[in-house]
Amino acid sequence: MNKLPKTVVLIALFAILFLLSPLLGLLQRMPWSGLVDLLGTEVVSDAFFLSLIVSFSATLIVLALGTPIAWFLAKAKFPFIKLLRAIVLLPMVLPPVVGGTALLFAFGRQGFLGKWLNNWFGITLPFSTTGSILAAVFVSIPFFVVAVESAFRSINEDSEKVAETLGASPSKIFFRITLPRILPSVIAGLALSWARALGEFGATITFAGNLPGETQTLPLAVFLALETNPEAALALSLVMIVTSLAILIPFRDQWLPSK
Amino acid sequence: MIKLDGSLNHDHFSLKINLEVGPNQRVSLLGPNGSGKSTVLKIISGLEKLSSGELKIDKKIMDSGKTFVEPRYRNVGWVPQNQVLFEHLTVKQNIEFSPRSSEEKVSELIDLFELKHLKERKAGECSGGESQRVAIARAIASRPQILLLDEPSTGLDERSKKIIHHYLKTQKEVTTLLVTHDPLEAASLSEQLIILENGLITQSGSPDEIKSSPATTYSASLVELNFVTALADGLIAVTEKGAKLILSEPSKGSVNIVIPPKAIALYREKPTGSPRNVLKVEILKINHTGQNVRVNLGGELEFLAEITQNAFETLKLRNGDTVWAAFKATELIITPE
Repeated sequence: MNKLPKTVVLIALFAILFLLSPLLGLLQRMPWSGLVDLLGTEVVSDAFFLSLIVSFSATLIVLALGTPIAWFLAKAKFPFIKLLRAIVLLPMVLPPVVGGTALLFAFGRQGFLGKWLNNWFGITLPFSTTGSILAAVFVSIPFFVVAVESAFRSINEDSEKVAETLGASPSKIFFRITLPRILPSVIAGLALSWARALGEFGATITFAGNLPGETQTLPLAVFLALETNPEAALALSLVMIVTSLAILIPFRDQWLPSK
Repeated sequence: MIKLDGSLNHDHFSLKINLEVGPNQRVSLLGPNGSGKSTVLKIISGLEKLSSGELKIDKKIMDSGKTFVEPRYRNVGWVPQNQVLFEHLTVKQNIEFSPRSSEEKVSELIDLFELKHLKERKAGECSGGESQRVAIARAIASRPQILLLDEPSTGLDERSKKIIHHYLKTQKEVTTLLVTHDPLEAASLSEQLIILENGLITQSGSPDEIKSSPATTYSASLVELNFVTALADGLIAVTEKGAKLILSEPSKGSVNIVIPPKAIALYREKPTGSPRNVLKVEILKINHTGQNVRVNLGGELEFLAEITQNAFETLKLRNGDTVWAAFKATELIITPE
């Protein structure tokens, strides 16, 4: 490896320090002595498990829905494909509050889809765990689609063509040839969208509210605790940081594909 | 078996082709780079659509203005260039991938292509030669009516080349269309050559026909067609008809010996002096090609000599004459068969 220029090293160190300082701020104020008691409270454990349920359910749904979307965006010859891609990626840049508002108007009790769901199936999405999951899917799916679409685009298609001449059906080709070949990107996309789902706040609080045990995930609990019990907010933040690192560190190789 | 009469137009490339291949025939498509050889294979396998015209396989229309049969229903084995394997699967999983394959056929092919010791290895870990053996076995396992091979032995090790060539020469189960830019490979593996230049067929016929009356400069440049198969033992090689050739480097077993036409000198009297290969030959045919004269020789060795107009006039050669052909051992190009 080439020796790095000193200026680059300096800037990098400075930037890392900048990224690290909020974390240090948290740790410095952390009520270490009372931590065990704080973590044992129902609010914290409820929020923790709810966060895991919501983020992992959302990630599973993202995998099931995002893969076909990515495939379609990469392969379909379609006049409005650029517009379609922009719509799919919109939640990535949209303020989450706007996303939550939009979800409310679609799936809320008075929303054009929510009304129908409510009348016909008795399903109410807003202010429920399912609603939290829906909000998390909405904001995190673009991260997965971006990673996987580019993988679909960049693989050499000769393998798929050979499989076709061998008489394989399109679904066999997809599941046995294409999908395994893009697996690293799928995992990277999953890690990204999971991280986004775990940290989701704005859309959730708008669409699903802040009900302890039902829609109060870790970020929402932090927000609430910050006003009533700052020490609890710190403890909850620590839980989030540790959870995120525990999931993201093993996936480091997938975060940086082509290594 | 294959009847193709049609054209294909891309932005920067167009192909107009009319060819016919009979059942169980072995045909080679030969031509310079970019002449459209690989595209012809893609048209037959269904990976490219004809812009106009018609493709029939076994009297059934595969591609015309109205009909298009998808590749998966054509039963055509396609082996593209550069060894395309399903790298995440094992060698065996690759070979048995086709729903048309059977356990019996797969294990037969694994033996035939000497892949037994690699069976459980990930295909991505195979060498180039091993990969190509897997790719061909995989195509054959799908029980194709037609086998399409794109540069099947370019850049492979000698062992793999030999295994592949042996299969292609001895198999009697499938019509084969081979794309190559190696004339020696084309001639030794097929009965018929089709020369493709700039998207058009410029000549087709047996290797001998093309050798003796080339239609274009490209056909004429295929000196490698001037070859004999012989059994070598040390510095001596004996051809099928019993002619003895002296080699400059020791060799063993069956070899192909290319005799560059311009390396051959003809004499009325048996030449003496410097040690060379000297053979008594008969003149079968004379072709004037501008500056030089191409002379087809028969006898113990059927080959082609290219001599200057000057030499031709001095020798006063005529069809049926018996003359002496001499060429140095160092001029011969020897490749293991």
